[in-house]
Amino acid sequence: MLYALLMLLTLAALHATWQGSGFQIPLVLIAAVATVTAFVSDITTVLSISL
Amino acid sequence: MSRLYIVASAANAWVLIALLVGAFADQLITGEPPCPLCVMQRIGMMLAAIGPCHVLMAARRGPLEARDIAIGAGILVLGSMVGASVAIRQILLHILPGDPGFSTPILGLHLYTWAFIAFACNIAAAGIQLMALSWYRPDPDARSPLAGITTAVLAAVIVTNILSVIAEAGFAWGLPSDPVGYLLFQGE
Repeated sequence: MLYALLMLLTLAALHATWQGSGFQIPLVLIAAVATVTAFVSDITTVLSISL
Repeated sequence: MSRLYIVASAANAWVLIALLVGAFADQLITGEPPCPLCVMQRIGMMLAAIGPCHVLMAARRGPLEARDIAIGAGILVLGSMVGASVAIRQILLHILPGDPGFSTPILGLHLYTWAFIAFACNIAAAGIQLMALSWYRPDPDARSPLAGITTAVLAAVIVTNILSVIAEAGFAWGLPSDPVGYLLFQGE
Protein backbone atom coordinates (compact mmCIF):
# COMPACT_ATOMS: atom_id res chain seq x y z
CA MET A 1 0.00 0.00 0.00
CA LEU A 2 2.90 2.37 0.77
CA TYR A 3 4.26 2.12 -2.77
CA ALA A 4 0.79 2.44 -4.28
CA LEU A 5 0.36 5.68 -2.29
CA LEU A 6 3.72 6.99 -3.52
CA MET A 7 2.69 6.25 -7.11
CA LEU A 8 -0.68 7.93 -6.49
CA LEU A 9 1.20 11.06 -5.38
CA THR A 10 3.20 10.90 -8.61
CA LEU A 11 -0.02 10.49 -10.58
CA ALA A 12 -1.50 13.53 -8.78
CA ALA A 13 1.61 15.55 -9.74
CA LEU A 14 1.19 14.43 -13.36
CA HIS A 15 -2.49 15.42 -13.26
CA ALA A 16 -1.49 18.88 -12.00
CA THR A 17 1.04 19.08 -14.87
CA TRP A 18 -1.75 18.22 -17.33
CA GLN A 19 -3.95 20.97 -15.92
CA GLY A 20 -1.13 23.52 -15.62
CA SER A 21 -1.98 23.83 -11.94
CA GLY A 22 0.20 25.64 -9.41
CA PHE A 23 0.03 22.52 -7.21
CA GLN A 24 2.39 20.69 -9.58
CA ILE A 25 5.69 21.66 -7.96
CA PRO A 26 4.51 21.10 -4.34
CA LEU A 27 3.13 17.68 -5.36
CA VAL A 28 6.38 16.71 -7.11
CA LEU A 29 8.34 17.78 -4.02
CA ILE A 30 6.02 15.86 -1.66
CA ALA A 31 6.25 12.74 -3.85
CA ALA A 32 10.07 13.00 -4.00
CA VAL A 33 10.44 13.56 -0.24
CA ALA A 34 7.99 10.72 0.53
CA THR A 35 9.91 8.34 -1.76
CA VAL A 36 13.25 9.32 -0.22
CA THR A 37 11.74 8.82 3.27
CA ALA A 38 10.55 5.34 2.29
CA PHE A 39 14.03 4.62 0.88
CA VAL A 40 15.82 5.85 4.02
CA SER A 41 13.45 3.77 6.13
CA ASP A 42 14.34 0.75 3.96
CA ILE A 43 18.13 1.23 4.14
CA THR A 44 18.13 1.70 7.91
CA THR A 45 16.56 -1.75 8.30
CA VAL A 46 19.19 -4.15 9.60
CA LEU A 47 20.42 -6.47 6.90
CA SER A 48 21.10 -10.13 7.58
CA ILE A 49 23.98 -11.34 5.44
CA SER A 50 24.80 -15.03 5.29
CA LEU A 51 28.31 -15.86 4.14
CA MET B 1 14.91 26.74 -30.81
CA SER B 2 11.60 25.95 -29.09
CA ARG B 3 11.09 23.08 -31.54
CA LEU B 4 14.42 21.55 -30.54
CA TYR B 5 13.41 21.61 -26.87
CA ILE B 6 10.00 20.13 -27.72
CA VAL B 7 11.58 17.28 -29.73
CA ALA B 8 14.18 16.66 -26.99
CA SER B 9 11.52 16.61 -24.27
CA ALA B 10 9.29 14.27 -26.28
CA ALA B 11 12.23 11.92 -26.89
CA ASN B 12 13.19 12.06 -23.21
CA ALA B 13 9.63 11.32 -22.04
CA TRP B 14 9.16 8.44 -24.48
CA VAL B 15 12.50 6.85 -23.54
CA LEU B 16 11.44 6.93 -19.87
CA ILE B 17 8.01 5.51 -20.76
CA ALA B 18 9.71 2.77 -22.82
CA LEU B 19 11.96 1.89 -19.87
CA LEU B 20 8.96 1.68 -17.52
CA VAL B 21 7.04 -0.47 -20.01
CA GLY B 22 10.15 -2.63 -20.53
CA ALA B 23 10.55 -3.16 -16.78
CA PHE B 24 6.87 -4.10 -16.51
CA ALA B 25 7.15 -6.46 -19.49
CA ASP B 26 10.21 -8.08 -17.89
CA GLN B 27 8.20 -8.55 -14.69
CA LEU B 28 5.46 -10.35 -16.63
CA ILE B 29 7.72 -12.37 -18.95
CA THR B 30 10.20 -13.63 -16.35
CA GLY B 31 7.54 -13.92 -13.63
CA GLU B 32 9.76 -12.00 -11.19
CA PRO B 33 7.79 -9.37 -9.22
CA PRO B 34 9.77 -6.19 -8.45
CA CYS B 35 11.42 -5.75 -5.04
CA PRO B 36 10.85 -2.54 -2.98
CA LEU B 37 14.06 -0.96 -4.38
CA CYS B 38 12.96 -1.77 -7.95
CA VAL B 39 9.57 -0.14 -7.29
CA MET B 40 11.25 2.98 -5.88
CA GLN B 41 13.43 3.22 -9.00
CA ARG B 42 10.26 3.06 -11.10
CA ILE B 43 8.79 5.88 -8.99
CA GLY B 44 11.99 7.90 -9.60
CA MET B 45 11.55 7.30 -13.33
CA MET B 46 7.90 8.38 -13.20
CA LEU B 47 8.84 11.55 -11.29
CA ALA B 48 11.64 12.28 -13.78
CA ALA B 49 9.24 11.82 -16.72
CA ILE B 50 6.98 14.57 -15.31
CA GLY B 51 9.77 17.05 -16.20
CA PRO B 52 9.66 16.58 -20.00
CA CYS B 53 5.85 16.27 -19.80
CA HIS B 54 5.80 19.70 -18.13
CA VAL B 55 7.77 21.16 -21.07
CA LEU B 56 5.45 19.48 -23.61
CA MET B 57 2.28 20.63 -21.84
CA ALA B 58 3.62 24.19 -21.52
CA ALA B 59 4.38 24.18 -25.28
CA ARG B 60 0.81 23.01 -25.97
CA ARG B 61 -0.73 25.87 -23.98
CA GLY B 62 1.34 28.68 -25.55
CA PRO B 63 4.84 29.77 -26.53
CA LEU B 64 7.45 27.77 -24.63
CA GLU B 65 9.18 30.03 -22.11
CA ALA B 66 12.66 29.51 -20.68
CA ARG B 67 11.05 29.30 -17.23
CA ASP B 68 9.09 26.17 -18.25
CA ILE B 69 12.23 24.52 -19.64
CA ALA B 70 14.04 25.25 -16.36
CA ILE B 71 11.14 23.82 -14.30
CA GLY B 72 11.06 20.70 -16.50
CA ALA B 73 14.82 20.20 -16.19
CA GLY B 74 14.58 20.69 -12.40
CA ILE B 75 11.90 18.01 -12.07
CA LEU B 76 13.93 15.72 -14.35
CA VAL B 77 17.02 16.12 -12.14
CA LEU B 78 15.06 15.69 -8.89
CA GLY B 79 13.32 12.49 -10.04
CA SER B 80 16.59 11.15 -11.45
CA MET B 81 18.43 11.87 -8.19
CA VAL B 82 15.77 9.93 -6.24
CA GLY B 83 15.95 6.99 -8.65
CA ALA B 84 19.76 7.02 -8.95
CA SER B 85 20.18 6.93 -5.15
CA VAL B 86 18.04 3.80 -4.97
CA ALA B 87 19.78 2.22 -7.99
CA ILE B 88 23.23 2.82 -6.44
CA ARG B 89 22.03 1.23 -3.20
CA GLN B 90 20.86 -1.86 -5.10
CA ILE B 91 24.08 -2.08 -7.14
CA LEU B 92 26.13 -1.94 -3.91
CA LEU B 93 23.97 -4.65 -2.30
CA HIS B 94 25.05 -7.06 -5.04
CA ILE B 95 28.64 -5.92 -5.56
CA LEU B 96 30.34 -8.78 -3.71
CA PRO B 97 32.16 -11.26 -5.99
CA GLY B 98 30.02 -14.31 -6.67
CA ASP B 99 26.74 -12.52 -5.98
CA PRO B 100 24.37 -13.38 -8.85
CA GLY B 101 22.42 -10.13 -8.36
CA PHE B 102 18.66 -9.66 -8.28
CA SER B 103 16.55 -10.82 -11.24
CA THR B 104 17.62 -11.90 -14.70
CA PRO B 105 20.28 -9.74 -16.42
CA ILE B 106 19.40 -8.08 -19.73
CA LEU B 107 22.29 -7.59 -22.22
CA GLY B 108 24.69 -8.50 -19.44
CA LEU B 109 23.47 -5.92 -16.92
CA HIS B 110 20.76 -6.08 -14.28
CA LEU B 111 17.78 -3.76 -14.53
CA TYR B 112 18.99 -1.61 -11.61
CA THR B 113 22.33 -1.03 -13.39
CA TRP B 114 20.48 -0.01 -16.57
CA ALA B 115 18.26 2.23 -14.42
CA PHE B 116 21.31 3.98 -12.97
CA ILE B 117 22.73 4.56 -16.48
CA ALA B 118 19.35 6.01 -17.53
CA PHE B 119 19.20 8.32 -14.50
CA ALA B 120 22.77 9.53 -15.12
CA CYS B 121 21.90 10.24 -18.79
CA ASN B 122 18.79 12.16 -17.64
CA ILE B 123 20.85 14.38 -15.36
CA ALA B 124 23.36 15.01 -18.17
CA ALA B 125 20.50 15.84 -20.57
CA ALA B 126 18.99 18.28 -18.07
CA GLY B 127 22.39 19.96 -17.64
CA ILE B 128 22.79 20.38 -21.42
CA GLN B 129 19.23 21.75 -21.73
CA LEU B 130 19.87 24.30 -18.99
CA MET B 131 23.22 25.38 -20.47
CA ALA B 132 21.67 25.77 -23.94
CA LEU B 133 19.09 28.19 -22.48
CA SER B 134 21.69 30.94 -22.93
CA TRP B 135 20.94 30.81 -26.71
CA TYR B 136 17.20 30.29 -26.27
CA ARG B 137 14.72 32.47 -28.12
CA PRO B 138 11.00 31.53 -27.80
CA ASP B 139 9.27 30.62 -31.05
CA PRO B 140 5.59 31.71 -30.78
CA ASP B 141 4.47 29.22 -33.47
CA ALA B 142 6.11 26.13 -31.99
CA ARG B 143 3.51 23.77 -30.48
CA SER B 144 3.69 20.27 -29.08
CA PRO B 145 1.20 17.93 -30.80
CA LEU B 146 2.39 14.91 -28.79
CA ALA B 147 1.91 16.50 -25.34
CA GLY B 148 -1.52 15.02 -24.64
CA ILE B 149 -0.78 11.48 -25.80
CA THR B 150 2.61 11.41 -24.03
CA THR B 151 1.13 12.51 -20.70
CA ALA B 152 -1.84 10.14 -21.10
CA VAL B 153 0.43 7.15 -21.82
CA LEU B 154 2.62 8.03 -18.80
CA ALA B 155 -0.53 8.22 -16.64
CA ALA B 156 -1.64 4.80 -17.96
CA VAL B 157 1.79 3.34 -17.13
CA ILE B 158 1.60 4.76 -13.57
CA VAL B 159 -1.93 3.36 -13.06
CA THR B 160 -0.78 -0.07 -14.33
CA ASN B 161 2.12 -0.01 -11.87
CA ILE B 162 -0.23 0.99 -9.01
CA LEU B 163 -2.44 -2.02 -9.78
CA SER B 164 0.63 -4.26 -10.04
CA VAL B 165 2.07 -3.15 -6.70
CA ILE B 166 -1.33 -3.58 -4.99
CA ALA B 167 -1.51 -7.12 -6.42
CA GLU B 168 2.03 -7.77 -5.21
CA ALA B 169 1.66 -6.35 -1.69
CA GLY B 170 -1.92 -7.51 -1.06
CA PHE B 171 -3.21 -5.70 2.02
CA ALA B 172 0.26 -5.34 3.56
CA TRP B 173 1.82 -1.88 4.09
CA GLY B 174 5.19 -2.76 2.51
CA LEU B 175 6.57 -5.26 0.02
CA PRO B 176 8.60 -8.39 0.80
CA SER B 177 12.32 -7.74 0.19
CA ASP B 178 12.57 -10.81 -2.06
CA PRO B 179 9.07 -11.23 -3.55
CA VAL B 180 8.16 -14.48 -5.29
CA GLY B 181 4.48 -13.94 -6.08
CA TYR B 182 1.42 -11.74 -5.86
CA LEU B 183 0.10 -11.74 -2.27
CA LEU B 184 -3.33 -10.36 -3.24
CA PHE B 185 -4.08 -13.57 -5.17
CA GLN B 186 -2.69 -15.77 -2.42
CA GLY B 187 -5.18 -14.45 0.14
CA GLU B 188 -2.49 -12.99 2.42
